[in-house]
Amino acid sequence: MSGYAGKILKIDLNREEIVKEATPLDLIEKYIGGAGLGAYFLYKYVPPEIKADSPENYVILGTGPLNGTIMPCSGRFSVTTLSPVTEIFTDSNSGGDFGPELKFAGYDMVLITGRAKRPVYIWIDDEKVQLNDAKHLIGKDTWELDELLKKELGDWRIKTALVGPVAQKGVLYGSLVINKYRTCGKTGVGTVLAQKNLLGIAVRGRKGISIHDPIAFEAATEKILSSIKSSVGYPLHSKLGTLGVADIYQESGRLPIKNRQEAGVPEELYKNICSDNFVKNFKVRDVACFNCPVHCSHWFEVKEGRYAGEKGEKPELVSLMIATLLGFYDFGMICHYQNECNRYGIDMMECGNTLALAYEAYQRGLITVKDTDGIPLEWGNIDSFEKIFEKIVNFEGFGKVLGLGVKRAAEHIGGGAERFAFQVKGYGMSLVEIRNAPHWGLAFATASRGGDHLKALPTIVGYDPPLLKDLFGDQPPEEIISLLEIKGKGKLVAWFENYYAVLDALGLCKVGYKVGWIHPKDLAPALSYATGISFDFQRLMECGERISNVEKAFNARLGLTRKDDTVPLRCLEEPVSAGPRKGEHLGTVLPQMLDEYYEARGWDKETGLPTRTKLESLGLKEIADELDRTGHLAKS
Amino acid sequence: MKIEVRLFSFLCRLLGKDENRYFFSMEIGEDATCSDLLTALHIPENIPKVILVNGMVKKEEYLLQEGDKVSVLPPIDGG
Repeated sequence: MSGYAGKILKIDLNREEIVKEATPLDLIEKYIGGAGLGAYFLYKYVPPEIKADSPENYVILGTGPLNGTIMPCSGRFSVTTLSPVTEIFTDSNSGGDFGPELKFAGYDMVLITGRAKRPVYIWIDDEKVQLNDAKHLIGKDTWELDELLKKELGDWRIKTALVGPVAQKGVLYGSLVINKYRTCGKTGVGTVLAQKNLLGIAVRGRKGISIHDPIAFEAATEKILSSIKSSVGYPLHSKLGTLGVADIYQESGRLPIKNRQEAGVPEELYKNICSDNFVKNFKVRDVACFNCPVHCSHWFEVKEGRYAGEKGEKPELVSLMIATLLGFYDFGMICHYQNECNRYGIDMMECGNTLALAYEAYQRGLITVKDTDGIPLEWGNIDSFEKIFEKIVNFEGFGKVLGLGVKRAAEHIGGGAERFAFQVKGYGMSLVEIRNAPHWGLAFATASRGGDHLKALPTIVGYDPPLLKDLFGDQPPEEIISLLEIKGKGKLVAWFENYYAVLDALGLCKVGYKVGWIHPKDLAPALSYATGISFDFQRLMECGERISNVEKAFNARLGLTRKDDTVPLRCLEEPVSAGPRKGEHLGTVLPQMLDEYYEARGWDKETGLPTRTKLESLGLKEIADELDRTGHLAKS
Repeated sequence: MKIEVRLFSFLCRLLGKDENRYFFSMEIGEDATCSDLLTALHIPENIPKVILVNGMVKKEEYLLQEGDKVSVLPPIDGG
């Protein structure tokens, strides 16, 4: 089998049983691999009566057929599970080099279920796979753990995916930290491992990956590499990463402040957190993930101020959440808390949203210092922030409320706090003002893992009408690329969800493969040359659509309907304070876009549920039958 | 008339500035449009870009006014 490592690892922690199976060809042809196969296995093995903290929940690590190859940006892998934050489908994805190492050890997927009777970690050393005792590692932060495991196992080249102490203490949004500086951050996948008494996975692989037609594959990858390096997005991302995108957001009214009460940071403050300031005063060098020409990460060093001496990697757009949402405009502080979140295994996004909710609740008098352990939650008060962050890290006092995530914290606070809890389906939204980019609002509303922009990432870089015509037919190019146009965006978001499901299944990074960086149709020959399985672009996109439908079916089976495909009330009812849509909200346009989205998806507009016709057209009759039996299939 | 110009990403480099943001004021003729401004800045027509005037999306034929804040951004998106 080419492209693939050829084996799936199944680990039952209840029985401490480890089984190796061949990667099934029939499933590859339907789901490709990575997060695609992850969605299939999660639907199959985690029925609706299972809760995230049940031993029966699964954690599914998936690589993908192009992961670990010479394909550019091929370091990504996914973790699929039932989220403890949302209790719905989730997958979370990381770069770095853990995914490739797993493939070099010989495994396409790792399926983990059960709950160990003792604290353990999984040690994968090529063919040798074992559960090692981890009692002596409890409570260590992920940086200590990474170094201890490398010492204990006697190999500094080991790659690690580790759970931090916050997940062990009970914070629901514990992340899985990859080699210290990368994370599967979203939706609490680290907490699921902790609930299984599993501290992480260490892997060392020494095998290669077989390629079906190496010469043709190399030529296909060269073409894609050339496209990436000549794209209009490359100069910005290769120097600044997503910090450069923050400058674009700031200028176009899409950078929210103070829990999204306003859009746009005052210039005299923004200059402190703009990308140019980072490059001049903090950046030491660029850092790349496995085989990535974009190198969008950076090594930083804080030279002066309160956090002088801090060194680490990868402040990015999401790292600005605690800055703009809470009123801190100090890159030293941003770099410090980037490190703190990585050390303790905290999802920056959920943490930022939850704190922002609490700060606004404090501003509005819904909570006082009596509720917050005496800590005044004042915008921009660094002393208070340090104290409340520590409460979350220790999961104590008011930190026990904040550690449950933005939705649960809003329910606890009450008094209408739900109105300004920035979450969708229970998960906090990433840092963008969606009222100034309505179809991004739609992408948040429909994302299968909750308030997240990366499931669809409905963005086209540059302006290339022939490419747009090739992908989207007769839809006018101006309509497709406009941030403000509503018409056609439902269809566009559905298309992008399918496309990025393909990338997550292949094991590639979304940054380098945005439409406009490359021509998406160039993926199909590369995959065919790598695997020897004939994929054309239409077939790839059908796989993406199938994966999206399985994720949808998983959530539908849990009872989610159209009412869950929405955005926070502030975005639906309150006008945005600045930007190209100043004075407008999404109240009327979101339902219009949703109607068009469901139509493009072949789902029922009224309920948002999948239809038998669509599911059967994708070969998902068994899923249609089950949804029908349980009352979760559209009636029409 | 005097306007404020705000360039981003590789558009700054066209003016020799190795920064992601480059802001400056300049004088331009009374009947100047955004297109005239781009010509004055030697920004090639075929380069993809988005134009904002005072934060609002405008087309190249938009007639500029005294004190306008004109942002020229590359169509780059996504975090």
